[in-house]
Amino acid sequence: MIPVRFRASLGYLRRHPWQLALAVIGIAVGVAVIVAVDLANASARKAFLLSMDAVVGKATHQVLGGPEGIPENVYTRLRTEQGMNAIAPVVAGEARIGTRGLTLIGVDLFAERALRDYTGMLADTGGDAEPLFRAFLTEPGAVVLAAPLAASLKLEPGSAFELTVDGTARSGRLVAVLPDEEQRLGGLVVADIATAQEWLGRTGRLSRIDVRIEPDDEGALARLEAALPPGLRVLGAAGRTQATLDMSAGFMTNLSAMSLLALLVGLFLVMNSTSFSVLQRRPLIGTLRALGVTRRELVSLLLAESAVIGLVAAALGIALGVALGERLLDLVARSINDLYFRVTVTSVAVEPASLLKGLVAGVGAALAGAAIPAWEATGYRPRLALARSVLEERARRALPFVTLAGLVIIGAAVVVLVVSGRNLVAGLAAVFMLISGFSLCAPLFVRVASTALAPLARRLGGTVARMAVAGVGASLSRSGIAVVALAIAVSATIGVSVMVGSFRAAVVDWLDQSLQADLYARAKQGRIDEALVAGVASQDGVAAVSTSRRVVLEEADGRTWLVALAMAPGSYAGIELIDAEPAAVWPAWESRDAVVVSEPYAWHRGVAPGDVVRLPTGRGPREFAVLATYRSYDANASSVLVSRRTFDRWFDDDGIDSIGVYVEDDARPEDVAAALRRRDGATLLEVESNAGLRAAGLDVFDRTFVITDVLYWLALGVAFVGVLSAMLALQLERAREIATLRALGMTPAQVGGMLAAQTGLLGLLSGLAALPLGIVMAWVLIVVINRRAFGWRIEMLVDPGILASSVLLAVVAALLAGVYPAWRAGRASPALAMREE
Amino acid sequence: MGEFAVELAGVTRRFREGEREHVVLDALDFEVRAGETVALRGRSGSGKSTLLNLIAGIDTPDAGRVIVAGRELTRLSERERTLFRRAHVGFVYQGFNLVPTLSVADNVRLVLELNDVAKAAADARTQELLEAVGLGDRAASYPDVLSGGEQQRVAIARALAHEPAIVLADEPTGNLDDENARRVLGLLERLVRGAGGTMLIATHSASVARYCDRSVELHHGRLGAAAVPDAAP
Amino acid sequence: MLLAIPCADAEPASSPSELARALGAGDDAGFAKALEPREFVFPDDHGPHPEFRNEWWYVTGNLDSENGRRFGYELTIFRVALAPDAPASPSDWRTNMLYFAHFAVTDAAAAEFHAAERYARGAAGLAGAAADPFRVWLYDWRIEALPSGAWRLAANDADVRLEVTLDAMKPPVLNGKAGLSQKSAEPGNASYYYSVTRFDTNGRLALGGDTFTVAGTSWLDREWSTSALAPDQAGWDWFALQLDDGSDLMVYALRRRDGTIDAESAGTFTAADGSATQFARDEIRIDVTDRWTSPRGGTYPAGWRLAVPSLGLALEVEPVVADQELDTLVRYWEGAVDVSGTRGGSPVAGRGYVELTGYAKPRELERP
Repeated sequence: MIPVRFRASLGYLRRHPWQLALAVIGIAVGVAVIVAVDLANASARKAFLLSMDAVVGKATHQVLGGPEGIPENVYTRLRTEQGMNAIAPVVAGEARIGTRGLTLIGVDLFAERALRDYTGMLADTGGDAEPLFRAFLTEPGAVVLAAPLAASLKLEPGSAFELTVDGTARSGRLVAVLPDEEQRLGGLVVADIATAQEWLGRTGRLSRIDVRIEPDDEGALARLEAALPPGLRVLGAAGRTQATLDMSAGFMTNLSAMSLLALLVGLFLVMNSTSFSVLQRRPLIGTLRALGVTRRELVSLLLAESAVIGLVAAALGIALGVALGERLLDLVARSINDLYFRVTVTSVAVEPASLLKGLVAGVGAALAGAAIPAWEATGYRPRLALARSVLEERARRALPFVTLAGLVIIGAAVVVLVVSGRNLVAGLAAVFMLISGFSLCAPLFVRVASTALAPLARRLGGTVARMAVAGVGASLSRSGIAVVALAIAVSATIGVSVMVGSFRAAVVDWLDQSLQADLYARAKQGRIDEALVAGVASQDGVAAVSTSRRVVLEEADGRTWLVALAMAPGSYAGIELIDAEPAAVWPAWESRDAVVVSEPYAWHRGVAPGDVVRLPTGRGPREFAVLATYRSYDANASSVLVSRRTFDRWFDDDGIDSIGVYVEDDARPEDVAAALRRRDGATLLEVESNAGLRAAGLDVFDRTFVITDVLYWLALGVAFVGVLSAMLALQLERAREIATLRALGMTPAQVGGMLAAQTGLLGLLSGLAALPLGIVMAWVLIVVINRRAFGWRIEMLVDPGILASSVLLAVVAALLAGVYPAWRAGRASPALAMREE
Repeated sequence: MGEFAVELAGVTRRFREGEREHVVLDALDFEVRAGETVALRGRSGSGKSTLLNLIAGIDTPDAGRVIVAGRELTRLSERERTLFRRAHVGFVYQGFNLVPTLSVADNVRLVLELNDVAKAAADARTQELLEAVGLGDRAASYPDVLSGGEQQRVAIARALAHEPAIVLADEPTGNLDDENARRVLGLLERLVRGAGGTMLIATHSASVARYCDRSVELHHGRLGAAAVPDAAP
Repeated sequence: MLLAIPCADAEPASSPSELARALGAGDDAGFAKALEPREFVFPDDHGPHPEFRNEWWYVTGNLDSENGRRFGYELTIFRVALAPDAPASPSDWRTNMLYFAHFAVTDAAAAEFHAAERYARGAAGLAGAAADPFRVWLYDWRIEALPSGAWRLAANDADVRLEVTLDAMKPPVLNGKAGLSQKSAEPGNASYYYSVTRFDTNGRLALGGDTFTVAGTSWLDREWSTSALAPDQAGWDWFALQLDDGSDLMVYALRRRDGTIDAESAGTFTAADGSATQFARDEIRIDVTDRWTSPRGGTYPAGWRLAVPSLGLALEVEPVVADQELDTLVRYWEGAVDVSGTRGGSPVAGRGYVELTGYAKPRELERP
């Protein structure tokens, strides 16, 4: 049995279903975005941790060498001479089945039991396990995959399939599938260590040795270290996992911030809707008050109602968020794969914490949106409650204080930016402070702007236009929130577009500069060696060649890409030194134990020219002088350049990954490329023009920002719903006025046009208000957030086109949102004007 | 303009309320001669507002003809009726219904502008009317700073601005105290009746009715006998 | 005498025939078989015989510390070929050869038994065997010839660590028909089987934080085959007894599923001078005098009257500790025993090892 006063209140909502619906949609979309991003992030992180768990197992430490890995006899000696038992050898590499990027992990089943349990899992595959073991151990190319992965690749035990390992095509056979309910193994191709060595061409070498040291076994670590030959290091496994995860922290934090932005816009929308529904019921509230319902009872009633709406909407939003999360997850995982580490996520892991966050956000937003209007509306004497002008007057009087508060918050944001050093989270907090500060200043802007526009409007469009303009300024208590919501969404699009645009321009620039050679050749099959390089260099039409070798240095605090370059005369121009003179750097770099480091590397490790860095070489850790920092927007951002000569001194690795080919002026690159592709011999070359590589590079870049695009369109969508809701509410509130105008002889088209003009104007003002905020946001994103998250320094480019299109976007969004309310208003019967309140 | 400013013949208007059909006006015949001021009386819900809406072209009858200023509204489209209303009908409401975002002068000017009166002429006419209702010095004020009586005077100025063929007033003094009511009635007397205008006033106030040329009473959808007042007060 | 595939967790095997099945015993194609007697050459035959599917190096021994504390030990290294031919590969890890090993120590005074097992592929130097110099190892468990000609045996697990030197006191003796030991009637169901029945053994045993200097005697059993037991055989009882008159007795009783002793059961008696006498099923009498039920399930015989009348032997055999069951992948009982009785009417005593297979309750599948 619902108390009568509740029914009175609910009756209102029943009679204005769209208002209820929009409030619900607003909260639901806001919650959905939060939940979706949170789930996608959490799922990606969890998938990574699970897969690391599957890979690392119970290992507490890992023995690592230089980029060449570890001689396998080190493992044999640890086993046979040191009697170490809880150790397992691993040979790992990159594999690809179809389009699926995976990690090939070669293991020794007999060593696994202490660390991982592939053995047990294999036995669990059912049936007679012995043939599986026999096949796994003795058959070259035998692999096992997680059951869900095998299913998604349409492979069954016994199927033969093609895969690519380190760029070379191989034939595999699936001998068994592993049960994988927790989805820990979804990214792995598990093979015998012999198979992995054969495929990766790493005979005699291990990628690492996993070690389990019991916490109470003091001295075990020291014994292990003492037993290792020089050049090998022991690193904590958890620390390495964390370091890998940390690389992506900036990316994930940025995504979370984007989702918060959507909630912020959603929050405004909710406030808009709930405050409207409260304000609309002022007469009812006045009547109930007059009948003796206490203020407290009324406030509780209104809040309870909002809480119920919030709850329903949050539930909807969570459901929506889970569905949306599935979509986002793909994008998040793709970006992480492009940028950071291999992660295979097949489905969203529904984390209760994420759902709870959504619930709290939804109900909290609904309550926050209702609280102030409820308190205010119930405080009036019934008679006063009818006078709208009183409300507007109050709003007008509060304006200076609101604006002042906004300015103070903006000031505080600046202070936070200045004092927070390299802290990314503080940087993001400052962004949100800037947004709040600007939003508090927006109402004043709208009032001033609409007042200023009024005479102009009158001159151009007469009284009707004037009425349209004045309506915007006069109904600030209603339109203000919509303006702010739209302004925030639009400023976010400006901020993000300018940031992405600037970033992209920088990447294009960098690619153009980096890709100095006309052609780049990689081994499609076989390997590149010195003889092959010499052969290419002597080919007709080839002026010069450069080579590069890229290896991973595993360190306690993450991975470093060591790039060994044999430069052609034209190569030097491809590396832009930021803080040193090329003429002073390159000769020393060629001859000494010296390196040039990437900007992100310098940023993250805090090194500068003149410092030394310690790198794990094949002959133990060595110090290298840092000569300069170079610009790099490479996905594997943390890179160190070393000359091939220096590399050969310290690393036992004669591999070459790619050859840069400089074509003679009078030769055509296409002809040279064709000739290179036709070369005879064991090694087949894949030749790509610099334009092709440039396109591929930009492709990765664009892929990375798809998710950003999606998120800000969502934020804009929420803002759109906000404007729609505000316009509908305004129209409801002004029903009588509109009816009078109709009675006075304005046609439906005139009334509709006037309202449309009003929403268009609202959009224009939102767009204009968004400009400064958008530019400031772009600046903060580029100069503060990107720098802090990734270490990249990017020049900000403000494309006037982006600004213009953002303002246009705001106008169009507002106009679209105004179409239905305007149409409805025009249709409303003028008879309404007769009816008394 | 013919003999009748308003002519209703066999006008029936029904409203559905759920399952029930409610006949508000039942085959009503009614005329207002040009220059006549008629009081339309009746209890709340008797159909006074409906009748006014039909005459203004805001509403259309289910049966019968409505002829105002020689135009048969029942044969016009919605748009034509709107344009007709714009040109030939003036409205005064109980609740004033001024546009809150427009100044006093703009409220008056709005109607002139809708009728495409040239700006200079509109300005002059506006000022003239505001002077006439005694608010010449309040042209730039906004409605919300005016008293109820003042607002209603602005509404009268607005209703007369375009020299309508008929003025429809719906309880024009309903929200006013006696003093202001008298003043408003005085204005209507002077500006409409005195100028030979036609006016239909819906009211249940006897004092307002007395002031009219004649009264008709709506009762159960039909016009009943009404006392014809002797003379103007 | 035990076969297993180390990884075959899914196939808990408690009897040789089950094990044989787990190994795919039907498919012997490509492997050599023990069909007829061969010439044994030493030290070559101490090394591996990879053409046969299975092979083991089986050392047991009874030791005393300086202050008289009694210990027993077992170190067995098994070799199993997963396929007849070694696959060709540039990778050292590619192999068809699998090694696994069991190491157990019995502490009579504390009535404690400690056992462990390990597995490794027979590749990358992790496990393997070689004839000259003789060496068989799995990780750091090993038996290897020293330059002196003596052997060194070392194994450890947790706080148990054994390191002893083995000096052969007798030459190898060939069991069965000149080393061809028939296990069931079908030709080829046989192994090549020799023993070194007595090694003088000296070294150190660390146990629970204490280190003991130990001395005693050990026994080596060497066997290689491709197939052995028939489906109707349930397991075996194997006795390796060293008597204080310098003679050694080996007896194996192959048990059929119907409870009877298989006709192919046999034994070898090695006199103090090293001369050996082989005897057959009908010369052996075994009566069980006691039984023990394992806490892990299964009831074992736990005391025997063992007689070989043709040799004038009548012996009582008793376990030193009741629970010497190896809770390994394949469960079996292998333990130190005391021997007393008469030989030709004169009292003799001794020590030895007994192995009992096919009694255990199969291991439950357990997952970490």
